[in-house]
Amino acid sequence: MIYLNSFLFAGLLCFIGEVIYLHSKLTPGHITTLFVIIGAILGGIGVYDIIIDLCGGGATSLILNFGNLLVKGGLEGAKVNGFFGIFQYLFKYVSTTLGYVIFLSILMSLLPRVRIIK
Amino acid sequence: MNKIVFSKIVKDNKPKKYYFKEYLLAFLGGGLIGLISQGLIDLYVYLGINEDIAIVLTSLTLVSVTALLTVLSLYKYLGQLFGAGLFVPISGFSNSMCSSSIEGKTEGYIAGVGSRIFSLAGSVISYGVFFSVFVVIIRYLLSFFGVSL
Repeated sequence: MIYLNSFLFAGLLCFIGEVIYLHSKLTPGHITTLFVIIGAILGGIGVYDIIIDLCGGGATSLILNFGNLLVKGGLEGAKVNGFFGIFQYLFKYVSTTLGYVIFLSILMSLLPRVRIIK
Repeated sequence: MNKIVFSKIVKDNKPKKYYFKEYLLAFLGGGLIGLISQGLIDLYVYLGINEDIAIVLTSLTLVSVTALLTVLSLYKYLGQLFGAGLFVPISGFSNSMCSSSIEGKTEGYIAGVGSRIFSLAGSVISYGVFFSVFVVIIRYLLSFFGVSL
């Protein structure tokens, strides 16, 4: 059942993104930024954790989860250290992926570029 | 012939465009990534890894595969085929960072790779942080009025 849910949820969000992309002048950069903001708002009102319980991998692999995880870290910091803790704990859950992507991108730029299909 | 009649004739004779194929491919592409990541989570849990770490490992796997496809110049074709199905999941974030760092190589490693690496993905991080802090501050202020954090 969780497989069907994750297929439907991820598919639905990508479908909404495609509709916005084809019927407006927004670029993929605008749409991903919009989705991160929606994810932060959904995380702030506590809906995104329920979606993750229902949809599993379909919800955690989307860009919306980036905003949700930022809010999750910030809320945890606010509980521990008050206002100062928000900025202290903000990157707690995203730093693994973010640091890995930066490392990997620079590593890939050191490699020579290969073209399989001309 | 006045302008209104002319624009009506243009509107009537324009070929109507339907995007059923693009919608279907975006839905299938996004759905398949969701399905694959749920499968990977279950695989990592089966191998004896804690579930919280399995979720992070799954996104690291997706990011690695995307970076590899980008450096092999294959992601471009997949991206044209699936459209939003590949830039709404985390793979679009990885692809934009990888491709801008590879493109910046012609301008050297400081002015090219190092400073251009966030040229597309930077807006996601900066506005994500801005709105997250905004949301968290609202929750923090509400916590003084009895709403639990």
